[in-house]
Amino acid sequence: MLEFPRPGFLLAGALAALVPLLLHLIVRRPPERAPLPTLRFLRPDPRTAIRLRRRPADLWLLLPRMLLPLLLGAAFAEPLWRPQRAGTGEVVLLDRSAAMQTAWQPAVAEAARLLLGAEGEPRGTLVLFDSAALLIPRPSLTPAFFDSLAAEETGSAAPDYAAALRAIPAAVAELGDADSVRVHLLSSLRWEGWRTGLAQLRRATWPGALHLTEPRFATNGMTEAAGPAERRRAWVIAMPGEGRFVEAALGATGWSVERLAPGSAPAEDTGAFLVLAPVGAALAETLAARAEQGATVVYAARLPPATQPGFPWDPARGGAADVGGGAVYFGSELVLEGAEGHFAGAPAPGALLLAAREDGRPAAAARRQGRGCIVFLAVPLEAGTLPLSAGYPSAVDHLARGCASGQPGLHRVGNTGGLPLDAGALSLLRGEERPPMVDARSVSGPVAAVPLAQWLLLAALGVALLEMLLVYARRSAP
Amino acid sequence: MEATTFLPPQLLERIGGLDLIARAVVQGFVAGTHRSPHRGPGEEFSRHRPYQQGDDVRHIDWRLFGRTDRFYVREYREQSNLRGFLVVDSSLSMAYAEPGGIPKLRYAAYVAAALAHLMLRAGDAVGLATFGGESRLLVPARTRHGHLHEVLVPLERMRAQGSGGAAEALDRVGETLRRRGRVILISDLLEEDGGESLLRAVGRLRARGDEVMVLRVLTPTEAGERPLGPGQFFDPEHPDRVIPAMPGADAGYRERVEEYYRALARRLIEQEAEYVALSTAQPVELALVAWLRLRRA
Repeated sequence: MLEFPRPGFLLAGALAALVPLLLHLIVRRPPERAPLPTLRFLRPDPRTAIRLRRRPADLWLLLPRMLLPLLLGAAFAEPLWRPQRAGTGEVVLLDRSAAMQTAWQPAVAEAARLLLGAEGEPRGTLVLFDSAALLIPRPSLTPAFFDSLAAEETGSAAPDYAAALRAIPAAVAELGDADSVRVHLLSSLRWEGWRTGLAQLRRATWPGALHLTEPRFATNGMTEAAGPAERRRAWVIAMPGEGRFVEAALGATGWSVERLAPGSAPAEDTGAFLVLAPVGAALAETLAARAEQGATVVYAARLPPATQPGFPWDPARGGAADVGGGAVYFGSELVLEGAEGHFAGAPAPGALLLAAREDGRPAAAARRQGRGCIVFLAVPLEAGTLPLSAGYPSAVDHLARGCASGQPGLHRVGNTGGLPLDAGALSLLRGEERPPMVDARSVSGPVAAVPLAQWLLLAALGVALLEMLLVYARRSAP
Repeated sequence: MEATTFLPPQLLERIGGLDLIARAVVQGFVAGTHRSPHRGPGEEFSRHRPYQQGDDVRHIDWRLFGRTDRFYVREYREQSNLRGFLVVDSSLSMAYAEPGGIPKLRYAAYVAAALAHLMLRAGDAVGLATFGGESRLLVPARTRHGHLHEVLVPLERMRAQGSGGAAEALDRVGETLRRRGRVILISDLLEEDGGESLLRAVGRLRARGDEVMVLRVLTPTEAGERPLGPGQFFDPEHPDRVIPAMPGADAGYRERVEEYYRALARRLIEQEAEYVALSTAQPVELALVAWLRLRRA
């Protein structure tokens, strides 16, 4: 397959090739010297008669003169010849760290879906990683392999994304018949590893385009348990005049919503409690107890009056509060525009990141509490034009689901100092249409495209020499 | 007399040498112009007088005898002893010929040969002078037998050279004509001074009482009747004068040429000289028509 990254030069060369054709059609009548005795009556006129031939003169000379600009235009278009390939190869980075305990089997199923063809043949490569990366040989990728992998336990180490990302070149080398690579990262999002891994990845040169698909959050639908649909119950704890957007969003997403005044006692239920107003200590303790029993308690920019052990948000860590606006990303598929304000602090160690701001600041964190979940949203849920976003109901539903299952044991993350995610991670979170192009110079995998520009320049040189020889021969002819 | 009945100049060359050409032209001309019976070509009837003993019986008008029963003889005009000179321009400009045409010099030679033939038949003495490189009196004016050949030979051998004007030749001819004569100038009249010296020379001839006839010879191309393509044109008599031009696109070229010759003709006519414009595309006989008109005047 022939590609022209700069097709404009092709057009320029074609247009330039028309110039010699036109010149070979023009007959510039040479001024003949002729006697005329009545010269005294003539007025000087230096014009030279020009007419057009019906057919171009000297076709043998015209041919190289037209070919030369065509070859130069083609050369400047930087043509690349790519052998026919099998298309895009898939590389899956599967997190098997302790963080994936609750999402392991769905993640393995997703990996199998991405890497196995219709008849169970491998069409990609697999990298298993936790604190180190392991490249699974491509021939080993069979349905039976994935079945056995799903039955295994996850590891106990923390995920090292840098190791996973550095394994990509080796994984690509297995894709001998692909001319582009798509990397899928199946993992729950953590702080460490993103920046380091992506920085190294950017220094490499890849054959073709590298697509880093968005990471799969553990709660991004993969862990949805199959089962009979039942109407879940949610309570909105808000001051009068507040909470109507949240109520409507919950109602639109299948929740049965009731309203509670801040001083009211919550029901004996394990649904979802969305706290939009300040609550007293007693209510906070009650809500904590409900979480232990399996409820999801969502504090929307409101802290409980007293520090609760295991609370997912630490106001003393991270950045200060601000009143700026922007978007909130619940993964790449759910983005809310129009948020106003940001609570101070950062996720507590061990907390699960649910959302982030566009500048990388965490915007929501969750932590298991008993069989339930405590969620803290650092952005006011009804401020600005956030409620007007199309994804608002889904986001509220997402928050109300909290940790999504009752499995405890979230892995504790290291202290990253509250630094924001780097540009690569941010672009992944944003789900930008153009995934970051990464240069992977060290990849020795599939053969790169063959540049043809130098050959075309060489041909152009030969044509130019031929044209000169033809002109010389004509001038030397008697 | 229709010009179309005569041979075009381009075909005359096929007849043969100038002698044959001249005879052919004159015979054709005479055949077209002869009306009344007269004794011979060149002799014109003058009057009847009663027959006297000793008169040539061949001159008796028998028709008149049939009507009157008396013998009368025809009297003819006396053979003219007018001396004439053909002055032919042989300068370099006369060598010009347009594509498919004959050179002006050759055309002038046809005209001169035909006129010489006709004039000698009429009893005129004919001489020949040329000018171009230098003014030369090539043949003195005579009427003796075989003189036509003496005129035709230098005409046949004429070659274009030089760029001299007609004035000197006319003056020399005038000096040669001791008494009233007839001077026929055949030229393209492309004089360096615009014809001033020519006009003065014609004036001097007219003052002496000589008859002057000017036959201007020009090609249709020079006259602007046929367009010329673009080119670098030069004057044959002055090759260093070169100008790029497109005569076909020069709308005023023909007008300028005609204006030059009109002015010249006007001044010649003012001096009671005869002026005839000839084109190399026209039959030579037209020149003879003009001569005849002059002779009858």
